[in-house]
Amino acid sequence: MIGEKKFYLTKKGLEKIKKQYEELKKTKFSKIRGEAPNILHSEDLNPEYLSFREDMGLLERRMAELENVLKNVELIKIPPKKERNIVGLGATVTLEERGGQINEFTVVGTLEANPGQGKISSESPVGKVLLGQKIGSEVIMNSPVRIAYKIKKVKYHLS
Amino acid sequence: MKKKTKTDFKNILDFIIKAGKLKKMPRTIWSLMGVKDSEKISGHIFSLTLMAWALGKEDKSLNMEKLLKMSLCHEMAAVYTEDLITPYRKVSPKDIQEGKKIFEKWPRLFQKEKQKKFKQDYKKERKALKKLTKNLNQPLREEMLNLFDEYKTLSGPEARFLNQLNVLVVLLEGIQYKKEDPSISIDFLWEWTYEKCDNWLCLDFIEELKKRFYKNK
Repeated sequence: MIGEKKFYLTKKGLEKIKKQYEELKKTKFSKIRGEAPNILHSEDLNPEYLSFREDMGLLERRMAELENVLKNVELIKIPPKKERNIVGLGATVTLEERGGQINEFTVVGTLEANPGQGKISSESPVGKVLLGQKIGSEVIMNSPVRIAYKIKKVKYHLS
Repeated sequence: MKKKTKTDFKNILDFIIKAGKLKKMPRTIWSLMGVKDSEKISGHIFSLTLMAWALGKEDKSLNMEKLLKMSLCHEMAAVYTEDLITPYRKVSPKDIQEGKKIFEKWPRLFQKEKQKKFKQDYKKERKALKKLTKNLNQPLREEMLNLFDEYKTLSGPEARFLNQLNVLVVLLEGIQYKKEDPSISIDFLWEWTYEKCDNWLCLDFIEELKKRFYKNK
């Protein structure tokens, strides 16, 4: 359901959403004009955009979702220097876990999360528990198994 | 409506036979953990598709047809790549011996390593899916490849939802194996779940799993 939820995006993430929206808009116009869809696959094209070619209803719904994101977007900004030891959105966090194992990911908004690429959502249980924590803090999740994280490093990327 | 040509049927038949190999291919994750008679890759796809249907119905913004097709496509590449469990590959007898230790480390890596593995696996899987679908008619092939790309890059709501459900079905399977063999450790699956899931349906389902299987915790 579309609500007034805030969507946190990096500058790069926002550009990607805008690009997706423009691609969908172009598709919609070409469909309205009755142009034949281009069926040649291109690695450069957004896969989602391609899958909408045949379905106008789906395309319009997705456009409305993206419009809602663009209307309620909040750009992730690097915090002031004195707060850069605290985990916030956009921070790359290095954690030490049981047995000295290192785990590392960047905390991002839900739309940019891709845990396989080391980007976790700030709305995930791990994201939530880490937000606001400082370097050196130990964070424990107890339910139903015990997972302990020690925050070793917090880094914000300037680009 | 245009009639299918003989070539179409031949190629569809070839494709179904090849994809059917997934019915005999075990899931690497369970083999490494030493689980006997564990599910096959097709069994995992079946569970995920059912879950996507049952839970996805609760979110009216999702396109059900797309979601279910995406679920069917998400591991089809395994016909050629086998089951890629990042960061591990083929299962050797030595791996099985060390299986439980291996999973104590996984999936904890530096971000750059995660990104490298992701790119490698994605490239390998895409190549395999292209090979598997190469003789299918162009629109069908395109649809499969696009759904796979969308799933891997999480570039739409169906992909994001399915990706989270994927970890939940693995967790559920693991919980059931652990009931049969308590020596199996599935802590890493919980950690993985807590890193991956943020969809409200998935988070509520996690609570249901806890209620059902961890009453005393």
